[in-house]
Formats: sequence, C-alpha cells, structure tokens
Amino acid sequence: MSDKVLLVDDETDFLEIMAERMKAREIDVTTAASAKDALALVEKEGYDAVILDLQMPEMNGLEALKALKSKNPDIQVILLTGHATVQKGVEAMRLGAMDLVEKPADLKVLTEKIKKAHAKKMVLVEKKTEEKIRNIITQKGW
Amino acid sequence: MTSDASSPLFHDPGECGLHFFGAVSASISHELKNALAIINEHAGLLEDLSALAERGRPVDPQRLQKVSANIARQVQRADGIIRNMNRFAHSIDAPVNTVDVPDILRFVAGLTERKATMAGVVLNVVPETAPFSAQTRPFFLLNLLWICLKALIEAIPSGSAIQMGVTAEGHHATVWLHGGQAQALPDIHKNAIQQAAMLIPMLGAEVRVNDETGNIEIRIPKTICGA
Repeated sequence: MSDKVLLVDDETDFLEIMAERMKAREIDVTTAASAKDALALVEKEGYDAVILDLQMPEMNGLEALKALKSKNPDIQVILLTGHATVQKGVEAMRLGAMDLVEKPADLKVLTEKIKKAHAKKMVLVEKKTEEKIRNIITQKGW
Repeated sequence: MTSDASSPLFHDPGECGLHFFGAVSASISHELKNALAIINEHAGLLEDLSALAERGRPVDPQRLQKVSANIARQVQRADGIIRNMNRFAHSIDAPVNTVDVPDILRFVAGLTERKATMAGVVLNVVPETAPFSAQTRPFFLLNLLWICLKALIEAIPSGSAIQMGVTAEGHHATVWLHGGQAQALPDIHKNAIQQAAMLIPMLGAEVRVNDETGNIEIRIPKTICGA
C-alpha cells in the first residue's frame, strides 16, 4: 500500500516539483497551497502524513498544526521550515508535530519520515481497533 | 495595540537598529531558503530523470527545458533577494548620506514585502512620486519607515492594501502611508512613536496621523541640523 501524503506550502513551484518527485517514488501525494485548503482536505480524506510549511500567509504552520490536531489528534504532521529555530522546534513538538525538517529538505530523509509516520498511524489505528473490540466484548458480556 | 515580543521597546538607537537588522536578515534568509529549496528539488528531478535514462527511458527535451527555465527563474529571484540584502547592509556604510526619499520608500517596501505577504497585505508605492533628496542617516531612516509600515501591516485586516507615496514641500519631504480600512490609527501611531522614540529626534523627523486623509505621515527634513 502506498503512503498517502498531504503536502502544504504556499510556494507553488515547490509543491509542483516535490509532488512530481514523490509520485515517482510511488507516494500518493495531494497538494494544498494554503493551510485553509489543507484543513478542508483533511476533513474529507485521511492521510498517513501531512507535510506542512511553517511560514505561510494568513495561517502559519504552527496555527495550522494546532487546527489539524484539534480535528484529528492522531494525524502525523512533519513541519518544513526555512529557518528552524530551537524555540519553534520545541513549540512544534509541544503541539504534537512528529518532526521538523529544515529546507532544502533531502527527499530521502523526508521519505523515511513519511514511512515512519505511516507506521505510527498504523499502530494507532490497531490500538483503536483493539480498544473497540475490547469495549464490545465487555459490553455484550459474551 | 500594545507592545509585544514582535514589537519591543528599545533603550537606545543601536538596540533598535540591531533589532531591525535582525528582523530584515531573518526575512531575507527565509526567502532565500525557499528559492534554494526549489532549486534543490529541480536538481533532484534532473537526477531522477538521468537515473531513468540510464534504465532506458528516454528524457523529453521539453521537460529538461522546463526544469532549466524554472532553475533560472529561482536563481533570478535569489539574486534579487541578495541584491536587496547587499544594499541593506551597505545602508550603514556612511552614518550620514544623501538619499532619494522615494527610492528609500520603494526599498523599504521591498524589504517589508514578505512580512506583508504573510499578513495577506499588498503594498503599493504610487508611481507619481517626484524625486526628493535628503541628507540624512540612511539606515535609521529605513528603520523608522520600517517601524511605521510594520505597525500598519500588523493592524489592518488580511486582504487590505497599503498605498504609499512621498510629497515634497520646500525643505521637507513627507512619506505617507494609507492603510485603507485601518481602524485604530491613533494606536498604530502611538505604537510606532514608542518603537521609534530614539530614531525620530536623530532624524529630525516627525510622525503623525493626518485626521483628514487617514494617513500616517513621516516628515523628513532636507538636511539634519548639525550633521
């Protein structure tokens, strides 16, 4: 099963080329040029990972991260940044980001992180399914 | 508008200038990183295409032309950013120098553009501005204009535009900033004055709100007394 990724950046040239290279690596990638578009897409679709630019007009990456996490606490977000500062990194992790990658990003590194995000999501889904089954068994008393 | 981490108050002009230098440098470095990221991905794409060619898949020359044009565009963009950075760095070469005020205003607009874009604000310098040269402290004049423009950008709603221009009258030029729907002009003015408290007397300048036009006006003398 290919990894399903949402790539969010206001630099459309970056989106286009990054998506092309990801697709060549059989990553199922959707792009969004703003945090608002990304939030709307996340409402409709599930993604293994969201790769989010930290500095975007109107809603920045940290605000978008907060909004994404409030919609789906299990969502795996990798933040992309032009200038990673320790303060921003700590803030991103505190808000639940999976990782912070500095631009220009190495696609190999990013692909590994996407795989990690996918695996983490699968573990969370399994845990939830187990919990559901346990609840059903307890309630029904079979 | 109150003072916060993004608009601190300063004890001396040097501190104020360093804050300005840092903020502009951070913005420039971020923009450069974006251009480099795109160039990096195009280089990666060329690597991908050559790997495919090695395995027997022919490379479309038009695809290569497109990649090359995109790289050239990003190099040009980065060059423009570096030019601005270089000019900005050289603005402190001579403490006092003769500058063209409309040109300085266009330059400040260029330096602030990224901040404006992030806030969803468009900056327009009106073209019908006559030249006006002033003997002043170029770096601190840039700093003062930046503070006023930044205060206005932070105060107006996303989707607004700021019009800017220069009018000249005798021995003074007035740089005016018009923020359209700006609601809290006295607060913006107060904030800018507080921020620029050390710079205004150094430049012999005045910052005020024009109640009739709703403009923030920065009055700059043709020469600084005793400079």
